Amino acid sequence: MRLRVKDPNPGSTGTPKGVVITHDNVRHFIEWAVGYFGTAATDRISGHPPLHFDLSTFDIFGTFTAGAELHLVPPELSLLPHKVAELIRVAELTQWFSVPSVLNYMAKFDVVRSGDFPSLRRVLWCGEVLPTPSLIYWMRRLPHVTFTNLYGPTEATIASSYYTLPACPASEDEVIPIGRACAGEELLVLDDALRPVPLGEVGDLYIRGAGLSPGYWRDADKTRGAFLPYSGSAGPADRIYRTGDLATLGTDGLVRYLGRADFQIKTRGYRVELGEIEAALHALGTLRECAVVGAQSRDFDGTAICCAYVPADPATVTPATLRAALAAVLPPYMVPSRWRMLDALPKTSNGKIDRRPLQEQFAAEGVEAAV
Amino acid sequence: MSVDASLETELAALFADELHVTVPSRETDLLATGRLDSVGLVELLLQLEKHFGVRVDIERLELDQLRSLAAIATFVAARLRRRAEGAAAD
Repeated sequence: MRLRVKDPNPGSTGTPKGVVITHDNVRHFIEWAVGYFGTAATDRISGHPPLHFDLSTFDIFGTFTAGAELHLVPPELSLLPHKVAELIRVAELTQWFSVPSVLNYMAKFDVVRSGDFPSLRRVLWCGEVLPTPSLIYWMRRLPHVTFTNLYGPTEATIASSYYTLPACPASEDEVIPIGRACAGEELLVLDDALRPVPLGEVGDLYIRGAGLSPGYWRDADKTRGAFLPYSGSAGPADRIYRTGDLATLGTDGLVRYLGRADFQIKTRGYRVELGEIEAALHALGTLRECAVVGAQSRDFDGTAICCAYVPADPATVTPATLRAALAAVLPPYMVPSRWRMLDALPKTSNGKIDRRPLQEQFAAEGVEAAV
Repeated sequence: MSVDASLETELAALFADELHVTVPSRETDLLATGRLDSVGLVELLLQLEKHFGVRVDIERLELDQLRSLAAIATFVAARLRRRAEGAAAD
């Protein structure tokens, strides 16, 4: 019997692809997590929608494994940060497993009081990088709470590594490690020939172990491309999953995430292939050139999707017409929020579009800028 | 056209132009259909202040006040009325 969980990641076709997660995958993670966090029958744990996110299996089955209480967060509540805080307060939650976009939003509206949520023991997050300023906001107000960063793509089930903050980060620039592998899993930082890179050097991050999905739903090609046989394997079934993330393994034994090896970004919890947005823009037939980049905002907002474009006819093409046309073919979270019209896009010496200066320009504009 | 109906038209234009969200009808559930997310809500509050001079305290907002164009229009109209009455009383 298998539990199929749909990952919110549109594949190259633009339609969401399914990742098969087995009951055993989930059970392994939960056994580790319940032991590591010391989940007990006295716990009062948040359960977040949507249920097609694999994280919900931990909320639900992790809670019931320990005989604890599950408190479902109404799906629309996350619009109102004060109400989310009120729910944690009134329900006297002991564990809040959230995503960075919700934690950021609550920090942005400053809804957490000093010493708030006295019953709360653990804040966990997963799914994307939590900006360090946001983490500092939370940790300063809640010194009685333990904060744990969980990392892992759906393809390796819920999370594959963890890092519990020993103390509040000293500076807003600090990179929070994704930490160490959960029991039964392994994080490998490898080079192109799948050999481990020296400590401290950047490599591709692979995951091995009990969390690995059997593969994508009805997509053997894609499965073969992402789940590779591993030569250091103990048996024929041993595989590694290529995350597409870049990372380092430090002398402290901790793994740090550095970014993507491709043009994929995470925004508001969704994995987005920037190339797919560019393809949709090109298909409109109204642009001479375009480039879509992710720009990190300076405060709590995370990554914004930004588009620089050269219109065929500047008189008829505006950000509003482009947005409307894209909204008809892409889900809302993939429609760029910031636009810039240019006479030509910057190019590298070999003639490719140079995304770096575009990214820097958008980042320099800050979060308020919208054309 | 009643005050609320013209408000609804203005709001629909505001959703289209500023939030880049198409709203098929005045009763469309903006929350259930995912048309209004947290980023959109922040933008909406900004635009309500800009266009109508209505400052909304997010702390006192209820989800049902945001559920549809009709609901938002009723909410904005009440705020505008209250402000007008306040001004008349002065």
